[in-house]
Amino acid sequence: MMKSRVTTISVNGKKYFVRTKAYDTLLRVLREEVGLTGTKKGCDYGGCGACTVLVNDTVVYSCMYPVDYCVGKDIVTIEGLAERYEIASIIQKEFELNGGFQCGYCTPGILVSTLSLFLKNKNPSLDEIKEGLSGNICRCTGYEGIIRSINSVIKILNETEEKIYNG
Amino acid sequence: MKFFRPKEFFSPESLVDALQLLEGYRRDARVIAGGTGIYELAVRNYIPEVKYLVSVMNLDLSYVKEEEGFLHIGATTRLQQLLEDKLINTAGVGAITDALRSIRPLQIRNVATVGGEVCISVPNVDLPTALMACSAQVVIASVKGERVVALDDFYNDIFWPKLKSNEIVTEIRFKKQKDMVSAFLKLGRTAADFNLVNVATSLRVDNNLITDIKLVVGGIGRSPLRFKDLEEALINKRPERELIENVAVKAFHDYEILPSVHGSAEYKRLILPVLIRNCVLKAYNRALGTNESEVPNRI
Repeated sequence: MMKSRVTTISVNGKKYFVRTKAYDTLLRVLREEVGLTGTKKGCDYGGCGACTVLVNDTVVYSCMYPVDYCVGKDIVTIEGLAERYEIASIIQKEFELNGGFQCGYCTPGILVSTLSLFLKNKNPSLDEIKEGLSGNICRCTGYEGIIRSINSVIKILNETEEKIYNG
Repeated sequence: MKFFRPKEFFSPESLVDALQLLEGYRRDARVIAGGTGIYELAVRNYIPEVKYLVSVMNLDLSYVKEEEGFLHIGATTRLQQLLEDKLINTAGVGAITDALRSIRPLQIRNVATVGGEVCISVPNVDLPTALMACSAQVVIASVKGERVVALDDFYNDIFWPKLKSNEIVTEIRFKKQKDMVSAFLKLGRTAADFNLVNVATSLRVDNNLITDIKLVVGGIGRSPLRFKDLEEALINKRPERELIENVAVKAFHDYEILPSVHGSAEYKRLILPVLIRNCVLKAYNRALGTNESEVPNRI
Protein backbone atom coordinates (compact mmCIF):
# COMPACT_ATOMS: atom_id res chain seq x y z
CA MET A 1 0.00 0.00 0.00
CA MET A 2 1.08 3.50 -0.72
CA LYS A 3 2.11 5.39 2.36
CA SER A 4 0.60 8.82 2.69
CA ARG A 5 2.07 11.56 4.79
CA VAL A 6 1.17 15.05 5.89
CA THR A 7 2.93 17.94 4.17
CA THR A 8 2.71 21.59 5.08
CA ILE A 9 2.45 23.97 2.16
CA SER A 10 1.80 27.68 2.02
CA VAL A 11 -0.73 28.70 -0.62
CA ASN A 12 -1.80 32.32 -1.10
CA GLY A 13 -0.34 33.22 2.27
CA LYS A 14 -2.23 30.50 4.18
CA LYS A 15 -0.72 27.35 5.64
CA TYR A 16 -2.35 24.07 4.68
CA PHE A 17 -1.70 20.65 6.16
CA VAL A 18 -2.40 18.26 3.32
CA ARG A 19 -2.24 14.52 2.82
CA THR A 20 0.17 13.67 0.00
CA LYS A 21 1.73 10.59 -1.53
CA ALA A 22 5.36 10.25 -2.52
CA TYR A 23 5.98 12.16 -5.75
CA ASP A 24 2.59 13.84 -5.77
CA THR A 25 2.21 16.79 -8.07
CA LEU A 26 1.42 20.28 -6.86
CA LEU A 27 -1.58 20.41 -9.21
CA ARG A 28 -3.30 17.39 -7.68
CA VAL A 29 -2.67 18.62 -4.17
CA LEU A 30 -3.98 22.10 -4.97
CA ARG A 31 -7.14 20.82 -6.61
CA GLU A 32 -7.97 17.74 -4.58
CA GLU A 33 -6.46 18.33 -1.14
CA VAL A 34 -6.43 22.10 -0.71
CA GLY A 35 -9.62 22.50 -2.75
CA LEU A 36 -8.50 25.40 -4.93
CA THR A 37 -9.83 24.37 -8.33
CA GLY A 38 -9.05 27.60 -10.16
CA THR A 39 -5.79 26.06 -11.36
CA LYS A 40 -6.77 23.80 -14.26
CA LYS A 41 -5.54 20.46 -15.48
CA GLY A 42 -5.04 20.55 -19.21
CA CYS A 43 -2.56 18.32 -20.95
CA ASP A 44 -0.96 17.13 -17.68
CA TYR A 45 2.58 16.99 -18.99
CA GLY A 46 3.88 20.48 -19.37
CA GLY A 47 2.59 21.64 -22.71
CA CYS A 48 -0.54 23.73 -22.32
CA GLY A 49 0.05 26.02 -19.36
CA ALA A 50 -3.45 25.80 -17.85
CA CYS A 51 -1.85 24.68 -14.58
CA THR A 52 0.62 27.59 -14.29
CA VAL A 53 1.11 28.87 -10.74
CA LEU A 54 3.69 31.07 -9.05
CA VAL A 55 6.27 29.46 -6.78
CA ASN A 56 8.45 32.08 -5.09
CA ASP A 57 7.35 34.60 -7.76
CA THR A 58 8.44 32.45 -10.70
CA VAL A 59 6.03 30.65 -13.01
CA VAL A 60 6.03 26.86 -13.00
CA TYR A 61 3.82 24.14 -14.43
CA SER A 62 2.16 22.76 -11.31
CA CYS A 63 1.18 19.55 -13.13
CA MET A 64 4.81 18.41 -13.17
CA TYR A 65 6.11 20.11 -10.04
CA PRO A 66 6.65 17.62 -7.20
CA VAL A 67 4.84 18.76 -4.08
CA ASP A 68 7.92 17.70 -2.12
CA TYR A 69 9.70 20.77 -3.50
CA CYS A 70 7.01 23.13 -2.24
CA VAL A 71 7.84 22.85 1.45
CA GLY A 72 8.89 26.25 2.72
CA LYS A 73 8.05 27.95 -0.56
CA ASP A 74 5.47 30.59 -1.26
CA ILE A 75 2.82 29.41 -3.73
CA VAL A 76 0.35 31.81 -5.33
CA THR A 77 -2.53 30.50 -7.42
CA ILE A 78 -5.13 32.35 -9.45
CA GLU A 79 -7.34 32.59 -6.36
CA GLY A 80 -4.81 34.64 -4.44
CA LEU A 81 -3.41 36.67 -7.30
CA ALA A 82 -5.43 39.86 -6.89
CA GLU A 83 -4.95 39.83 -3.14
CA ARG A 84 -1.17 39.66 -3.48
CA TYR A 85 -0.51 41.87 -6.49
CA GLU A 86 -2.37 45.10 -7.16
CA ILE A 87 -1.72 44.90 -10.87
CA ALA A 88 -3.60 41.58 -11.12
CA SER A 89 -6.96 43.34 -10.89
CA ILE A 90 -6.05 45.62 -13.77
CA ILE A 91 -5.01 42.61 -15.84
CA GLN A 92 -8.24 40.77 -15.08
CA LYS A 93 -10.36 43.81 -15.93
CA GLU A 94 -8.58 44.37 -19.24
CA PHE A 95 -8.90 40.72 -20.22
CA GLU A 96 -12.62 41.04 -19.60
CA LEU A 97 -12.97 44.25 -21.63
CA ASN A 98 -10.77 43.28 -24.57
CA GLY A 99 -11.94 39.75 -25.28
CA GLY A 100 -8.88 38.15 -23.72
CA PHE A 101 -10.72 34.85 -23.30
CA GLN A 102 -13.64 32.88 -24.67
CA CYS A 103 -14.15 29.51 -23.00
CA GLY A 104 -11.87 30.54 -20.16
CA TYR A 105 -10.16 27.23 -19.48
CA CYS A 106 -6.67 28.57 -20.23
CA THR A 107 -7.34 31.93 -18.56
CA PRO A 108 -6.09 31.18 -15.02
CA GLY A 109 -2.74 30.09 -16.46
CA ILE A 110 -2.57 33.00 -18.88
CA LEU A 111 -3.32 35.51 -16.12
CA VAL A 112 -0.57 34.06 -13.93
CA SER A 113 1.93 34.14 -16.83
CA THR A 114 0.91 37.70 -17.72
CA LEU A 115 1.39 38.78 -14.14
CA SER A 116 4.83 37.20 -14.03
CA LEU A 117 5.66 39.06 -17.23
CA PHE A 118 4.72 42.37 -15.59
CA LEU A 119 6.64 41.55 -12.42
CA LYS A 120 9.84 41.58 -14.47
CA ASN A 121 9.04 44.22 -17.03
CA LYS A 122 6.44 46.96 -16.87
CA ASN A 123 6.66 47.75 -20.57
CA PRO A 124 7.10 44.51 -22.54
CA SER A 125 7.45 44.60 -26.32
CA LEU A 126 5.37 42.34 -28.58
CA ASP A 127 8.23 39.84 -28.75
CA GLU A 128 8.57 39.84 -24.99
CA ILE A 129 4.82 39.26 -24.60
CA LYS A 130 5.00 36.33 -27.00
CA GLU A 131 8.06 34.92 -25.20
CA GLY A 132 6.35 35.35 -21.82
CA LEU A 133 3.20 33.55 -22.98
CA SER A 134 4.93 30.88 -25.06
CA GLY A 135 4.12 28.32 -22.37
CA ASN A 136 0.38 28.86 -22.49
CA ILE A 137 -1.90 27.53 -25.18
CA CYS A 138 -5.28 29.09 -25.98
CA ARG A 139 -7.43 27.35 -28.55
CA CYS A 140 -10.23 29.96 -28.73
CA THR A 141 -8.93 33.49 -29.09
CA GLY A 142 -6.13 33.02 -31.60
CA TYR A 143 -4.10 35.07 -29.10
CA GLU A 144 -5.13 38.37 -30.70
CA GLY A 145 -7.53 39.21 -27.87
CA ILE A 146 -4.92 38.25 -25.30
CA ILE A 147 -2.25 40.46 -26.83
CA ARG A 148 -4.78 43.30 -27.16
CA SER A 149 -5.61 42.94 -23.46
CA ILE A 150 -1.96 43.00 -22.43
CA ASN A 151 -1.26 46.04 -24.58
CA SER A 152 -4.19 47.73 -22.93
CA VAL A 153 -2.71 46.94 -19.50
CA ILE A 154 0.61 48.47 -20.61
CA LYS A 155 -1.24 51.60 -21.72
CA ILE A 156 -3.02 51.93 -18.38
CA LEU A 157 0.23 51.42 -16.45
CA ASN A 158 1.99 54.09 -18.49
CA GLU A 159 -0.89 56.52 -17.97
CA THR A 160 -0.90 56.02 -14.21
CA GLU A 161 2.85 56.47 -14.14
CA GLU A 162 2.51 59.75 -16.03
CA LYS A 163 -0.14 60.90 -13.60
CA ILE A 164 2.13 60.20 -10.65
CA TYR A 165 5.02 61.88 -12.46
CA ASN A 166 3.00 65.02 -13.27
CA GLY A 167 1.58 65.17 -9.77
CA MET B 1 -3.35 3.62 -16.90
CA LYS B 2 -0.70 2.31 -14.61
CA PHE B 3 1.08 5.38 -13.40
CA PHE B 4 4.59 5.64 -12.05
CA ARG B 5 4.24 5.55 -8.26
CA PRO B 6 7.41 5.42 -6.21
CA LYS B 7 7.10 4.39 -2.57
CA GLU B 8 9.26 7.08 -1.10
CA PHE B 9 10.65 10.46 -2.05
CA PHE B 10 13.88 11.33 -0.27
CA SER B 11 15.23 14.86 -0.03
CA PRO B 12 18.67 14.42 1.55
CA GLU B 13 20.46 17.57 2.63
CA SER B 14 24.03 16.48 2.03
CA LEU B 15 25.79 14.78 -0.86
CA VAL B 16 27.09 12.03 1.44
CA ASP B 17 23.56 11.15 2.55
CA ALA B 18 22.31 11.13 -1.03
CA LEU B 19 25.14 8.91 -2.21
CA GLN B 20 24.62 6.53 0.68
CA LEU B 21 20.92 6.22 -0.17
CA LEU B 22 21.81 5.38 -3.76
CA GLU B 23 24.50 2.94 -2.63
CA GLY B 24 21.91 1.17 -0.49
CA TYR B 25 19.00 1.04 -2.93
CA ARG B 26 20.99 0.76 -6.18
CA ARG B 27 18.63 -0.02 -9.07
CA ASP B 28 15.49 0.48 -7.01
CA ALA B 29 16.27 4.18 -6.74
CA ARG B 30 16.56 6.98 -9.25
CA VAL B 31 17.87 10.50 -8.94
CA ILE B 32 15.38 13.30 -9.51
CA ALA B 33 16.37 16.94 -10.08
CA GLY B 34 13.90 19.54 -11.36
CA GLY B 35 11.35 16.89 -12.21
CA THR B 36 10.15 18.11 -15.62
CA GLY B 37 11.78 15.38 -17.66
CA ILE B 38 10.97 12.50 -15.34
CA TYR B 39 7.30 13.50 -15.29
CA GLU B 40 6.97 13.54 -19.06
CA LEU B 41 8.58 10.11 -19.21
CA ALA B 42 6.41 8.81 -16.38
CA VAL B 43 3.20 9.92 -18.09
CA ARG B 44 4.23 8.01 -21.19
CA ASN B 45 5.11 4.90 -19.18
CA TYR B 46 8.78 5.04 -20.16
CA ILE B 47 10.06 4.59 -16.62
CA PRO B 48 10.57 1.10 -15.27
CA GLU B 49 9.68 0.09 -11.70
CA VAL B 50 11.34 2.59 -9.43
CA LYS B 51 10.70 2.28 -5.72
CA TYR B 52 12.58 5.28 -4.43
CA LEU B 53 13.28 8.75 -5.75
CA VAL B 54 16.29 10.60 -4.39
CA SER B 55 16.10 14.34 -4.86
CA VAL B 56 19.33 16.27 -5.37
CA MET B 57 17.73 19.69 -5.08
CA ASN B 58 18.76 20.26 -1.45
CA LEU B 59 22.44 19.47 -1.96
CA ASP B 60 23.62 23.04 -2.55
CA LEU B 61 24.63 22.22 -6.10
CA SER B 62 23.14 25.37 -7.54
CA TYR B 63 25.97 27.71 -8.47
CA VAL B 64 27.98 29.20 -11.32
CA LYS B 65 31.58 30.05 -10.51
CA GLU B 66 34.89 30.59 -12.17
CA GLU B 67 38.03 28.82 -10.98
CA GLU B 68 41.38 28.20 -12.68
CA GLY B 69 40.14 29.09 -16.14
CA PHE B 70 37.18 26.76 -15.82
CA LEU B 71 33.57 27.76 -15.54
CA HIS B 72 31.83 25.46 -13.04
CA ILE B 73 28.08 25.01 -13.22
CA GLY B 74 26.39 23.16 -10.38
CA ALA B 75 24.19 20.31 -11.51
CA THR B 76 20.99 21.68 -10.01
CA THR B 77 21.37 25.19 -11.41
CA ARG B 78 18.05 26.05 -13.03
CA LEU B 79 18.24 26.90 -16.72
CA GLN B 80 16.79 30.37 -16.22
CA GLN B 81 19.21 31.01 -13.36
CA LEU B 82 22.11 30.08 -15.66
CA LEU B 83 20.76 32.23 -18.49
CA GLU B 84 20.56 35.25 -16.20
CA ASP B 85 24.04 34.68 -14.77
CA LYS B 86 26.68 37.27 -15.56
CA LEU B 87 29.53 34.77 -15.83
CA ILE B 88 27.93 32.69 -18.55
CA ASN B 89 27.13 35.77 -20.61
CA THR B 90 30.73 36.95 -20.52
CA ALA B 91 32.41 33.56 -20.92
CA GLY B 92 32.34 33.64 -24.70
CA VAL B 93 30.17 30.55 -25.00
CA GLY B 94 27.52 31.85 -27.34
CA ALA B 95 26.34 28.33 -28.14
CA ILE B 96 25.28 27.72 -24.55
CA THR B 97 23.37 30.97 -24.19
CA ASP B 98 21.77 30.42 -27.61
CA ALA B 99 20.67 26.95 -26.53
CA LEU B 100 19.35 28.15 -23.17
CA ARG B 101 17.35 30.87 -24.86
CA SER B 102 15.87 28.37 -27.29
CA ILE B 103 14.54 26.15 -24.49
CA ARG B 104 11.03 27.42 -24.02
CA PRO B 105 8.78 28.15 -22.22
CA LEU B 106 9.81 30.01 -19.09
CA GLN B 107 7.79 27.57 -16.99
CA ILE B 108 10.24 24.84 -18.00
CA ARG B 109 13.38 26.99 -17.75
CA ASN B 110 12.40 27.96 -14.20
CA VAL B 111 12.29 24.33 -13.09
CA ALA B 112 14.57 22.24 -15.32
CA THR B 113 18.20 21.91 -14.24
CA VAL B 114 21.47 21.77 -16.12
CA GLY B 115 22.38 18.39 -14.67
CA GLY B 116 18.99 16.95 -15.51
CA GLU B 117 19.21 18.19 -19.06
CA VAL B 118 22.57 16.45 -19.45
CA CYS B 119 21.63 13.19 -17.71
CA ILE B 120 18.24 12.53 -19.30
CA SER B 121 20.01 11.50 -22.50
CA VAL B 122 17.19 12.08 -24.97
CA PRO B 123 18.13 13.13 -28.53
CA ASN B 124 15.66 16.02 -28.50
CA VAL B 125 17.12 18.14 -25.72
CA ASP B 126 19.27 21.12 -26.60
CA LEU B 127 21.77 21.90 -23.89
CA PRO B 128 24.04 18.82 -24.28
CA THR B 129 24.66 19.62 -27.95
CA ALA B 130 25.83 23.12 -27.07
CA LEU B 131 27.84 21.93 -24.06
CA MET B 132 29.56 19.30 -26.17
CA ALA B 133 30.57 21.90 -28.74
CA CYS B 134 32.16 23.85 -25.89
CA SER B 135 34.06 20.69 -24.78
CA ALA B 136 32.31 20.40 -21.44
CA GLN B 137 33.23 17.88 -18.77
CA VAL B 138 30.93 16.10 -16.35
CA VAL B 139 31.91 15.70 -12.70
CA ILE B 140 30.43 12.55 -11.19
CA ALA B 141 30.42 11.66 -7.51
CA SER B 142 29.94 8.31 -5.82
CA VAL B 143 30.70 6.91 -2.39
CA LYS B 144 34.16 5.98 -3.64
CA GLY B 145 35.02 9.47 -4.79
CA GLU B 146 34.88 11.71 -7.79
CA ARG B 147 35.56 11.17 -11.47
CA VAL B 148 35.51 13.50 -14.45
CA VAL B 149 34.31 12.45 -17.90
CA ALA B 150 34.28 14.44 -21.12
CA LEU B 151 30.72 14.97 -22.29
CA ASP B 152 31.78 13.47 -25.64
CA ASP B 153 32.15 10.10 -23.89
CA PHE B 154 29.21 10.43 -21.54
CA TYR B 155 26.43 8.80 -23.54
CA ASN B 156 25.69 5.16 -24.29
CA ASP B 157 22.23 5.39 -25.78
CA ILE B 158 18.80 6.96 -25.32
CA PHE B 159 17.94 7.20 -21.59
CA TRP B 160 21.30 5.61 -20.90
CA PRO B 161 24.19 7.86 -19.94
CA LYS B 162 27.40 6.27 -18.69
CA LEU B 163 26.30 6.63 -15.14
CA LYS B 164 26.12 3.84 -12.55
CA SER B 165 23.09 3.52 -10.30
CA ASN B 166 25.09 4.76 -7.29
CA GLU B 167 26.47 7.89 -8.93
CA ILE B 168 25.32 11.50 -9.02
CA VAL B 169 26.40 14.18 -11.48
CA THR B 170 27.43 17.13 -9.34
CA GLU B 171 28.85 19.60 -11.80
CA ILE B 172 29.29 20.50 -15.45
CA ARG B 173 32.40 22.47 -16.27
CA PHE B 174 34.20 23.77 -19.31
CA LYS B 175 37.25 25.85 -20.12
CA LYS B 176 36.56 29.51 -20.74
CA GLN B 177 36.95 29.96 -24.45
CA LYS B 178 39.33 32.76 -25.22
CA ASP B 179 39.95 32.46 -28.94
CA MET B 180 37.02 30.23 -29.84
CA VAL B 181 33.60 31.48 -30.80
CA SER B 182 30.48 29.36 -30.71
CA ALA B 183 26.89 29.33 -31.90
CA PHE B 184 23.83 27.11 -31.69
CA LEU B 185 20.79 26.66 -33.90
CA LYS B 186 17.80 24.37 -33.73
CA LEU B 187 14.73 23.50 -35.68
CA GLY B 188 11.54 22.46 -33.97
CA ARG B 189 7.91 22.39 -35.02
CA THR B 190 7.19 25.61 -33.17
CA ALA B 191 9.32 28.13 -31.31
CA ALA B 192 8.39 26.46 -28.02
CA ASP B 193 8.93 22.79 -28.69
CA PHE B 194 11.53 20.08 -28.53
CA ASN B 195 13.90 20.15 -31.45
CA LEU B 196 13.88 17.91 -34.49
CA VAL B 197 17.51 18.68 -35.20
CA ASN B 198 19.99 20.96 -33.50
CA VAL B 199 23.52 22.03 -34.35
CA ALA B 200 26.20 23.64 -32.24
CA THR B 201 29.66 24.67 -33.32
CA SER B 202 32.66 26.35 -31.82
CA LEU B 203 35.40 27.59 -34.08
CA ARG B 204 38.53 29.69 -34.27
CA VAL B 205 39.11 32.13 -37.10
CA ASP B 206 42.51 33.43 -38.22
CA ASN B 207 42.86 35.65 -41.28
CA ASN B 208 39.28 34.91 -42.30
CA LEU B 209 40.01 31.18 -42.34
CA ILE B 210 38.59 28.60 -39.96
CA THR B 211 41.62 27.13 -38.21
CA ASP B 212 39.87 25.00 -35.62
CA ILE B 213 36.32 23.74 -35.48
CA LYS B 214 34.13 21.44 -33.42
CA LEU B 215 30.72 20.67 -34.80
CA VAL B 216 28.06 18.73 -32.91
CA VAL B 217 24.71 17.59 -34.25
CA GLY B 218 21.83 16.49 -32.04
CA GLY B 219 18.50 14.89 -32.83
CA ILE B 220 19.73 12.62 -35.61
CA GLY B 221 21.59 10.01 -33.59
CA ARG B 222 21.00 8.39 -30.24
CA SER B 223 23.06 11.11 -28.55
CA PRO B 224 24.70 14.34 -29.77
CA LEU B 225 27.39 13.42 -32.29
CA ARG B 226 30.55 14.92 -33.71
CA PHE B 227 31.25 14.47 -37.39
CA LYS B 228 35.02 14.51 -37.86
CA ASP B 229 34.87 14.38 -41.68
CA LEU B 230 32.77 17.48 -41.71
CA GLU B 231 35.12 19.30 -39.35
CA GLU B 232 38.19 18.34 -41.35
CA ALA B 233 36.58 19.45 -44.60
CA LEU B 234 36.03 22.93 -43.19
CA ILE B 235 39.46 23.48 -41.68
CA ASN B 236 41.63 26.11 -43.37
CA LYS B 237 38.70 27.17 -45.50
CA ARG B 238 36.75 30.33 -45.81
CA PRO B 239 33.19 29.24 -45.04
CA GLU B 240 31.20 29.97 -48.19
CA ARG B 241 27.54 29.02 -48.19
CA GLU B 242 27.82 26.43 -50.99
CA LEU B 243 30.96 24.90 -49.54
CA ILE B 244 29.38 24.20 -46.16
CA GLU B 245 26.21 22.83 -47.70
CA ASN B 246 28.08 20.51 -50.05
CA VAL B 247 30.31 19.26 -47.27
CA ALA B 248 27.31 18.67 -45.01
CA VAL B 249 25.33 16.83 -47.67
CA LYS B 250 28.30 14.54 -48.23
CA ALA B 251 28.89 13.96 -44.51
CA PHE B 252 25.35 12.68 -43.87
CA HIS B 253 24.96 10.79 -47.13
CA ASP B 254 25.52 7.36 -45.56
CA TYR B 255 24.52 8.12 -42.03
CA GLU B 256 21.42 6.37 -40.77
CA ILE B 257 19.38 9.21 -39.32
CA LEU B 258 17.03 8.50 -36.44
CA PRO B 259 13.49 9.49 -37.44
CA SER B 260 10.95 10.88 -34.97
CA VAL B 261 7.18 11.39 -35.01
CA HIS B 262 7.57 14.97 -36.08
CA GLY B 263 10.26 14.54 -38.70
CA SER B 264 11.20 11.63 -40.94
CA ALA B 265 14.82 10.73 -41.62
CA GLU B 266 14.47 12.09 -45.17
CA TYR B 267 13.23 15.43 -43.92
CA LYS B 268 16.03 15.70 -41.39
CA ARG B 269 18.57 14.82 -44.08
CA LEU B 270 17.28 17.67 -46.24
CA ILE B 271 17.11 20.24 -43.50
CA LEU B 272 20.42 19.44 -41.81
CA PRO B 273 22.83 21.01 -44.35
CA VAL B 274 20.89 24.27 -44.18
CA LEU B 275 20.96 24.29 -40.41
CA ILE B 276 24.68 23.49 -40.34
CA ARG B 277 25.39 26.21 -42.90
CA ASN B 278 23.48 28.81 -40.89
CA CYS B 279 25.08 27.74 -37.63
CA VAL B 280 28.66 27.84 -38.97
CA LEU B 281 28.01 31.22 -40.58
CA LYS B 282 26.49 32.54 -37.39
CA ALA B 283 29.59 31.55 -35.41
CA TYR B 284 31.88 32.82 -38.18
CA ASN B 285 30.15 36.19 -38.27
CA ARG B 286 30.38 36.34 -34.52
CA ALA B 287 34.12 35.71 -34.73
CA LEU B 288 34.56 38.48 -37.27
CA GLY B 289 32.32 40.76 -35.30
CA THR B 290 30.06 41.37 -38.29
CA ASN B 291 26.33 41.63 -38.16
CA GLU B 292 24.85 38.37 -36.93
CA SER B 293 21.42 39.13 -38.26
CA GLU B 294 22.65 38.51 -41.81
CA VAL B 295 22.14 34.84 -41.07
CA PRO B 296 18.52 33.88 -40.44
CA ASN B 297 17.83 32.41 -37.01
CA ARG B 298 15.14 30.18 -38.32
CA ILE B 299 14.91 28.45 -41.64
